Amino acid sequence: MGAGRSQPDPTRADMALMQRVAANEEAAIAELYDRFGSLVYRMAVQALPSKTEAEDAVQEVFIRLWRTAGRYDQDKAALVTWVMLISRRHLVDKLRRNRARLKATSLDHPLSTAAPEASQSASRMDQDDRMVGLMKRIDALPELQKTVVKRAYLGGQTLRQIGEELNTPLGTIKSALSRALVRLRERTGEEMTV
Amino acid sequence: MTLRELLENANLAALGLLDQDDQQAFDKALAVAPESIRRHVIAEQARWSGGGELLPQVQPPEGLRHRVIDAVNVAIVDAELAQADAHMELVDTGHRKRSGSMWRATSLGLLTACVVLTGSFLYVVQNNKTVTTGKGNNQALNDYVTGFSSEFDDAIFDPATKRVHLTANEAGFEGRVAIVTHPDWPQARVFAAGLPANEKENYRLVELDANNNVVRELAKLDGGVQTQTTPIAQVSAGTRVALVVAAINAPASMQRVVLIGTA
Repeated sequence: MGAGRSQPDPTRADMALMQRVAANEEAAIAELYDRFGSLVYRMAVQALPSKTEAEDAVQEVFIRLWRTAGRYDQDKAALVTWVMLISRRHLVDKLRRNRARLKATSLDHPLSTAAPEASQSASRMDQDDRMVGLMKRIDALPELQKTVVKRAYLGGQTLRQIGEELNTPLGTIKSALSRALVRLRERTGEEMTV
Repeated sequence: MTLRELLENANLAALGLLDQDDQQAFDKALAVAPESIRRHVIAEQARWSGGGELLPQVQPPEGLRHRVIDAVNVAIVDAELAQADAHMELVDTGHRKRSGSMWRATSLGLLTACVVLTGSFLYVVQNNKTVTTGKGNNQALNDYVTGFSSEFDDAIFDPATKRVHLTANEAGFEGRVAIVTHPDWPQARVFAAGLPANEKENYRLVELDANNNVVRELAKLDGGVQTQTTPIAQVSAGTRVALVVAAINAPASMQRVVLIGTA
């Protein structure tokens, strides 16, 4: 009975951490990095074409986390979810800027309708032995789920954009992505426990 | 958004895959959901976000932690200075029409002092955790104002002023150095804070060539003082500058680069 009292409340600790980050406390920024630096880096490596760009992106994400720290609300999301959201938004912004640059500089070579980053990301992930399995599992998904995962999860396209391009209702796109992610996650978990 | 949709969208929201308006709808629905559902969704999302099963198994390089912390610190300082600039401009414009030149000069002087205090205080708070007393802050302010002398106005307000913050090159090194240059100044300034006290080694600010050889020494800096502002020879844009430490009387090859940057 007493044990429950002595355990710190993790959500309160998260809130306190973000308040310290918002107050420009360097130790808090270091703590935030120690907890989430690896996650953010892995997301950046997955999304961006080179490790150098990924490292730059991690710095930018943490600046963004510092800027938005005052808005973090423990009642709306766990801190890890907040970090994931901020990171993903930043990485997607970066991908879209890259795509715009690509469009502007390659007028002679029209882009395919599929997000270029998806195939770029996929080919880079092929180089990571541990991710080969994931790519295989993505390829084994039903066609719509596979397309949506590659375009949204790996390519940073919006769900609305994908729906329009595939002429498919948004609800269907969302369901396909959600089901695909659950399936991928379950299978990844199964493989890891084998 | 129905409860069913809320649950269905939880993993997409956790991974940041919802479009902005869908995310807002999700947040609103979550805010009014029954407490038990809300807790369940938040916990489930944390599991999705933190698991990382769908991410590559790579580890960040060792030096990234320091680069991230430095980058955030630089952003903090820049934001404070930009805020001070904007405040200054606003007040200046508002008073221009009805203020006499004497009154305006006095106002600007007072504001300048406030801004310098803010800027210096920020440096001190970031770079020297032991500085918590008013006495310490006053000392830092004095160092800053004295160090920049008649040019401290430019140092704070003039957009032509360039500040280069050296970033950590050695894990665990906590001191900070910034080089401040202005096209009209005969000399650049180096502002250092929180260099750890070190009786057996000395700190030197040096210019490096592409092979990390020391081209010339720009300044000797002291460890164990809160802040110091020192004039140095002008450094041209693109020059690599480093703070090196070496045992006193040790050969140049024995020095370690602890901070580095490009002017």
